[in-house]
Amino acid sequence: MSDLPDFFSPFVLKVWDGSQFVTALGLPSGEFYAMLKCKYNSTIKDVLGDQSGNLTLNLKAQDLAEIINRPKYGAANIAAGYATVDPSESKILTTVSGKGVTYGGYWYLNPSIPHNTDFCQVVVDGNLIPAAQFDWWNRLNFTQPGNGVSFLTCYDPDTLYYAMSLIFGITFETSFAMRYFNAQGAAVTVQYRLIYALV
Amino acid sequence: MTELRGITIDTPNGQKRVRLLTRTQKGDDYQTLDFPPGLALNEGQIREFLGHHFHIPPGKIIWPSHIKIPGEP
Repeated sequence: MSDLPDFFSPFVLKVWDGSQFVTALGLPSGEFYAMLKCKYNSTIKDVLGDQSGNLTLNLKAQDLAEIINRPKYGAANIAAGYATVDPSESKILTTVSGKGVTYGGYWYLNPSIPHNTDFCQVVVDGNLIPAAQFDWWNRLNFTQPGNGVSFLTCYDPDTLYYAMSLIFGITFETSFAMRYFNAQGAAVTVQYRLIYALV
Repeated sequence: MTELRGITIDTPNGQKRVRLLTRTQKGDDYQTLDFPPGLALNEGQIREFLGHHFHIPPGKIIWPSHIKIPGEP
């Protein structure tokens, strides 16, 4: 080729084979393939594909024993406050939309009448995690992490203090919510706190 | 690049509060912003608020598909 192609008239592509120019060939369909090779020390080696035509590359940027990927979590946040829950109501106390993880949290109440059959509930990605009432947790002595997403931290039927804690490390992809179910005939004020981080 | 990474609703002092978590590409800077209580909680108002805060057009705010407007607490 004595000049650059104008892309309107046919031209012949030639490649240098080390000693002379030879004509580069295409397929009958007009497709043009190039053979990929790589150089290892002074040796030229073939780069091979698989049956599907995929080329697998083993990239070794560094000789690391392992590569660890971890998500980036934003600064820890606290969602906290209190809410009044009416009789027979299941109320969302706080809700987070996003992708993240819990660090901890709690529900706490000190009502004027017993609320030993109320529930503390967690909703992860729209799914309600089954929960049990305070007196059931107390009867089974579920007072340590490991029996669910929450555990009993205070149950005093005399002074009417009730508290549940949230376990560490609940991951969620779209949303996380803390709810409370009031099984009694009178409204109750529930304090809560959720510590979490979003990716 | 400015991206919405989360919406949180809670009730400190018994009053509803909405906060937005954003991330900007520069330095992976996360910011938590209080969403004004007088504004309606919808995508348009959130974009408007964030666009004004970051001095960029509301349409430039990246809204990941998994972020939904949370239900009322």
